[in-house]
Amino acid sequence: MEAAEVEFLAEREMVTIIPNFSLDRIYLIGGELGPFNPGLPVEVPLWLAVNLKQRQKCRLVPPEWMDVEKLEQIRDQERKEDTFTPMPNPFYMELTKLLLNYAADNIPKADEIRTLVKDMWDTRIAKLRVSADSFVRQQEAHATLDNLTLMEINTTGAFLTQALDHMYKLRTNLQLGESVQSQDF
Amino acid sequence: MRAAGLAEEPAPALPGQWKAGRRLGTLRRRRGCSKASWRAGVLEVVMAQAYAPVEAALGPVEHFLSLADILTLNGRGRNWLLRAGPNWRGAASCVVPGQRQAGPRLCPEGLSGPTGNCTACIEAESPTDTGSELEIPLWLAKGLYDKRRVLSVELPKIYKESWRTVFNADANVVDLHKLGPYYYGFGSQLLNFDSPENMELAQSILQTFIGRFRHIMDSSQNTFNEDTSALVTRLDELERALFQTGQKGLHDFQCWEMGQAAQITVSSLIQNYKKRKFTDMDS
Repeated sequence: MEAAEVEFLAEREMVTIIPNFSLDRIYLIGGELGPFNPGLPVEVPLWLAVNLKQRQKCRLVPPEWMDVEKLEQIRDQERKEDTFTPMPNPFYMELTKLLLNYAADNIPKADEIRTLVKDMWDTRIAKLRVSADSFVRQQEAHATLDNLTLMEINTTGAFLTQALDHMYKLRTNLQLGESVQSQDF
Repeated sequence: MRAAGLAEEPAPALPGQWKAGRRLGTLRRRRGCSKASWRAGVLEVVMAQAYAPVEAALGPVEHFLSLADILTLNGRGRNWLLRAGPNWRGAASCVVPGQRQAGPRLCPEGLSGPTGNCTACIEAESPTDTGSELEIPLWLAKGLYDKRRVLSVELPKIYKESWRTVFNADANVVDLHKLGPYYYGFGSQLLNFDSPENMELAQSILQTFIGRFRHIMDSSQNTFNEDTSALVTRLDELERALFQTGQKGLHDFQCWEMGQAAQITVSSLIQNYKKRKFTDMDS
């Protein structure tokens, strides 16, 4: 899976927009949206929000958690604990990127938020690496990673599973080490 | 991605109206590459995903169709030292015809002849006697060891006690590519020879991998757009593949973050192909 595909999934997250046009309720396969009234907040999926924003048909309302104080709190919490802490949104990275890229003018202190989210990401990835290392060292066979988001899993996932796959095979060798039935020719 | 792609185009009236073909054409012209290299670039992206080579088995039994395993079994250089076994000469159980006929360059496979085409013969200058030492590829050793026990196998030196101690001390300092380059695969295959050290051997290979894991992970995840050749020179082939996987994950994420994931780009490999016609590449 590529990062772009994770983003595709993230685009289904609902965000609030304030449209400047009016439109009746629309019936889409995934659910009904609207009705849209100028000046009245309405929830739409992120992909539509970004599209409307690009066509200058709406103003985006930043999600509740996208706030400097709250993010600072989460970041400090993240640094304090050994395990992964719950994130404000399962797609926090993707939401931040898309919202800041396309609607930075609607989000107060956009630069600070960008830095904070990047900090959080770096902390978590470093943590992931440390825990992967101890996981391998102790030759564990399973782990719980409750609060890891899809993007984080996806970035190191392929590497980690491949390494664990190799390790599993090398460990199976160990059990067979005593007596191995080799192939018949 | 739909949303990111829109930034490129002047916003159309309705999202459904723009056509993928036209968009790719515009993108191509904007990037200033010829049609041929453009198509080849797209082709390469598609091909890399569609090409699924048989991977190395990494166990006592190899994958029959894996190229990496074939190379592993072929051994390399003088990594191999095998002794012809005690029932080489004179034993009734010796089934390979021609083995008991003395002659120059007799080879354990029974392919005798002055030319000595078989790999084993290259090393054996004189008629092979009981107890002679031969360097033969692993596939041949496996075949001969299996039922007939015509040879006894000695572990190559890097899998022996002395080197295992080195690996245990610090696996990171060892240049596995020079010693391998298929250290793990080869070692796993060596378990076929019922050596008394099998347990230690398997344990040592596993510990080597575990010891080197952190270094591979860190170096593959921390270098972006840098020359990685210095990092991978000391890695085993298997570790190199792992390194590449880690790099791909990182690269993919960084590209996405910088907003490049939405663009289709020409592969760096074929950027010099501009003068070649696409029709030439077909033939």
